[in-house]
Amino acid sequence: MAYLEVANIHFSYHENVVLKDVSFAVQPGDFLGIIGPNGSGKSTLLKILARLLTVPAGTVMLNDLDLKKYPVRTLARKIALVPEETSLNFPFTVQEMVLMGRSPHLSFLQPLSHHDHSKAIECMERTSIKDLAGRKINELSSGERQRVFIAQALAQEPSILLLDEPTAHLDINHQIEIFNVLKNLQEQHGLTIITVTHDLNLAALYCDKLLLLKEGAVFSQGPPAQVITVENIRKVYHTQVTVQQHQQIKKLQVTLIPNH
Amino acid sequence: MKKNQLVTIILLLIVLLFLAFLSLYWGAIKIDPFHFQDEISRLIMFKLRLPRIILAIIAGVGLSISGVVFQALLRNPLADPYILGTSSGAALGGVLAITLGLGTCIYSVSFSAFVFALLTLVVVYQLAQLDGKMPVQNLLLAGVIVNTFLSGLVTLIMSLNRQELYSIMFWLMGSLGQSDQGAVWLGGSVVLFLSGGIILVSRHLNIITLGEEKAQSLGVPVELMRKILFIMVSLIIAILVSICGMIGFVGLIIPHISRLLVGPDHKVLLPVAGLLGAIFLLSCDVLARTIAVPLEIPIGVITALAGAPFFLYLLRRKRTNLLFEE
Repeated sequence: MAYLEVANIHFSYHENVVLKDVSFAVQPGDFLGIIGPNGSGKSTLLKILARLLTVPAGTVMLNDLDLKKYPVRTLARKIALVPEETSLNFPFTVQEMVLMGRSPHLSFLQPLSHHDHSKAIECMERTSIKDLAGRKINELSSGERQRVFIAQALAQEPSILLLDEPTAHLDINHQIEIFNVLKNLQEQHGLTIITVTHDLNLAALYCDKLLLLKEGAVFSQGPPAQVITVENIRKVYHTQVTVQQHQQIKKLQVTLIPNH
Repeated sequence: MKKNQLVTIILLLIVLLFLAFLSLYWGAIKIDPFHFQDEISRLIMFKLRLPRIILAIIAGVGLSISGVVFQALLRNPLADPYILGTSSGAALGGVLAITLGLGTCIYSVSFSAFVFALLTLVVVYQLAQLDGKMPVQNLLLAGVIVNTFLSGLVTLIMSLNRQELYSIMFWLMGSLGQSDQGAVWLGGSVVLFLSGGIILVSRHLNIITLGEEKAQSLGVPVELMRKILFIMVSLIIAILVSICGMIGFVGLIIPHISRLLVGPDHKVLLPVAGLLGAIFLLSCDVLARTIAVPLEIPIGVITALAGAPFFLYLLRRKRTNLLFEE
């Protein structure tokens, strides 16, 4: 179980202010969506949570301990990241990729054990890629590949899973598939999920809480019904929309209104 | 390690030993393995050929393993061990020593080459630094630029100093004919020691190919590991270039052939590449000293002429893309 608390963080790249006084808390088992227009600081925020960037002001606390205080491997056993892009230059097999996720559980020169192999298989089962174990990563579709990256992150046995636009470049059936996998991990395995996404409808369907960023500051946060409103979207995205109840379930959906 | 991968490694080891044994007897003067009682044969075998065989093995292992590591660290399948300018630095050092008349003492040429190779490295790393980090693109660019500049200097010195042209040329194209056994043993043990160290961290090397962010989030101290690995492979290259000149092509194609054979997992890839590199270089050296007796062909010529078509054949036959394609 992990409790994450972000308090008054600021961040800038050289002169450019990217995040301004951002605060929020994530409870164990939450499914948080970070939304906002391009350049609003979503990915930077995610990188700070993964400690790929350190903040000059403000604190990020994980289980009441400053994130900066965690040794690299310990942190990798608590928080796993699926970046927007993972560079693939060599044709590793799916199994080899997932096994790399065991790294934080191994000391520097310790080889992979039988236990690591069975963990990797377990993670491939949870993301339904067990049949692909021997396939090369470059031969897979983008949807399958994304599930490999999720399986790799799961092999770290984290309590928090961070994802940066996991459904970018995917068609709708793969989008739903990825979010179903994530929802399942949250509900069945108690994982805390924090994902950056551009898709407001998917966010409204799957996330329990949303964090809406505008120009590096938190514009609104709370349950989707509170964050996704016609007014908020107009102010943040400068776009006219209608927000309606989903026809079959108690979730909101956003519809764009063209202005010509 | 899977069973067939272990079998591959053992097979390669047997081939290498067999080849090494064979090349003791094979050369400009053929020695009958069963009747060689005279002193001259003994001298040729153990004073001339044995150090050379050992150097071929060491250079093959070192070049191939550092090729694999450079390709992984730079996340670029076209990288070769000379890409960061170490070799041009060594060449400049060697050429300067020859020009200054130190050519009679093989030690001073090697030493000067080694020092210049290390200096080049320091310069390239300094140029590539940005906010305390060393982005891959910067490193590649800095390497290419320094490489070009130093090669220009070497060519300039050569054109001004024609009487030494032949010895400089021969040195630039690489030769395993280094007669100083001390340098071979010392350099060789350092190269093998470093190569062994690299194989130990192969698991981390796999992860580093996924990019800095991913590697860091997997708990690997990327910046530190990259720096240490770069220094290790650069040392290998500096040592090798100063002992046997610039033997091209091995460090580029052997990693690829090995990857075609056993895949990209560095735990298997590194030992396979090392063995294959040794086999390849040893075979090339036998050719270099036998096909044009009494002349000796520079080994770099053989590695390129024999290696390129073989590599192309493999690529066509396996229909594999050299570059990773989406």
